[in-house]
Amino acid sequence: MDRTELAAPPFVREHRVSTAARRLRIAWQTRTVSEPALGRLLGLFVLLVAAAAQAGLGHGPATQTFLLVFSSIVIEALPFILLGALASAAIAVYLPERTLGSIARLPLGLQIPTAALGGVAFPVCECGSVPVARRLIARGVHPAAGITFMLASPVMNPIVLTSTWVAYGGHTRGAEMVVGRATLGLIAATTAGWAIGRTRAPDLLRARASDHGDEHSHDDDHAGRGVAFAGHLVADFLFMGKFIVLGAALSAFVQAALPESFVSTLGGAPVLSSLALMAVAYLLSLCSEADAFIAASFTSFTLGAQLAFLVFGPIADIKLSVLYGATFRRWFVPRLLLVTVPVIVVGSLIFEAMIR
Amino acid sequence: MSVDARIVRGAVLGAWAFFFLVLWVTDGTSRYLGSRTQWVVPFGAVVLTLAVLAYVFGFLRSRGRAAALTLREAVSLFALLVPLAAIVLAPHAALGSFAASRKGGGSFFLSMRPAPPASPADVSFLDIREAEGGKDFADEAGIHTGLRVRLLGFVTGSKYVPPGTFELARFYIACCVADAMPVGVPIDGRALHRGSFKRDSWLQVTGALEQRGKRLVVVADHIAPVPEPSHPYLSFRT
Repeated sequence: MDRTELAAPPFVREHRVSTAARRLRIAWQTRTVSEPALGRLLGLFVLLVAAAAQAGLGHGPATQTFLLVFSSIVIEALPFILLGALASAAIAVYLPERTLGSIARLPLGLQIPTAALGGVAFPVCECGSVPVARRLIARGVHPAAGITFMLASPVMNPIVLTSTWVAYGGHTRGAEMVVGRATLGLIAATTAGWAIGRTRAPDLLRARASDHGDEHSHDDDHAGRGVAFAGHLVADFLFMGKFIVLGAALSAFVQAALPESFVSTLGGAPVLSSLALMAVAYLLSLCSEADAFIAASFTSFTLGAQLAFLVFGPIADIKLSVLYGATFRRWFVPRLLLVTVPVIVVGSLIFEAMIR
Repeated sequence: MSVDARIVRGAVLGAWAFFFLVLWVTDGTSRYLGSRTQWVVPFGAVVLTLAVLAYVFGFLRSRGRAAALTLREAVSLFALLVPLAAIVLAPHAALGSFAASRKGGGSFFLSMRPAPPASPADVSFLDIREAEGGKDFADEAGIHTGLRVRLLGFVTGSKYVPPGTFELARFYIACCVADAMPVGVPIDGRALHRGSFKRDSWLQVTGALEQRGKRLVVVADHIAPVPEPSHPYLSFRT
């Protein structure tokens, strides 16, 4: 080893490490891929898949469970991402500047409740609402209103409320759970919007290359707008899609590795049971259109705790956290948890006291 | 020479469009999704195909404005192909006893009341479990001791069954496999079979219901090993 390197003082070594890390990061972001390099990457990918298949990786019960849960979450979520990307592209290309301008000029006190109720008109689950909210904020809607819309629409949409009613209807608790879910969801979304969205769009959103329209034609003619629409659609879909893949992998790992019964012992304690089911909702990353069927099965937990599961899941889970991390600044997820967790816990306790 | 990123983006998008088309045409959707969300597959197939076509059209219109593919984007585009690789690795897989042990057991069981079966011949795993929990439902559905039932499911190896029985189960899904819940019924097959059945083996069991403690047990008079059905999961009947 080089003697001079050994003798270098700590701050020189740190400087060298940080310089190397910076160079690596710049290379990672800017280095272009040549045709032979892409061929090698593709070859490596195919070789790895073939080797894994040859080794029988997909045959063990644990890996099979992981692969099935992982692929099913992606298969279900990607079309919803697509739906969100369609709406996002339509906002980017077809919604006139003056329409968004008039929404943006509304007082914040009016924008937030309007955005919260806007979820009723946009029946997609949480994966689809992220790109739409991002586009709305990028085009001038107040960040607080954008966040409120994003968090409220997966709870307020009619399909989710209907599935909640169906899942609890047999126990004659359907009406209470639907009203509880819609009310607490609305409160949590508007509180989070107020508390963490009162900032400027550039301070909230992570910058993305596609925001600058680097590849889209913005010609005024019909074909030009169609091409721009497809460009935005593809950019949003591919951008969000890779984070859904990562989030689904994490969630599938948790499902394959941890037995659900590990939280059953916490069912009795009021605050703890709400927190436990919120943790389960975070780990499972279920679609808000299906989670009521799972919530209803947690019979050792109070209805208040089940409500906490139903409200918290569409606001924050593993796959959403990854998606939020890619869409918003680093501080967004911790602040979101800091605001919504106490609101939902308190709300679930009040709900429990009211229906008892 | 660097690669035009638009070609690789189009190819990844095309791969997903093709996959959704294959899933739609081959009726493979039920291995991943429940009946209420299966519409996403034709939706994905059609919209993604249209998006690919529009993207290719846009690419042809503006060929001169190439966007170089960066290392970061290349890796992230490959990441989007990983789920397709996962499907290739386990093409005909279905959740089994391992998943049942993770997702169910102990105090976790399904408590959603199904619509009663049209006739006793249609009695399902969910109906029997619901009848264990409520006499009203059992009366309404005509589920009682002595009723003959026919169940098709897999062996779980669960310990939460009365002595002398084994558990036969099916997974019920609402939206996708991630929300699958196992619903099992104890089977007493001692009159027909000595020893235990292999976990994950699929059986067609016919027999009569018998109350043992809190559980309804099927006392089997016919057990036949069968291949795994093409639709391994059941959906909620509500």
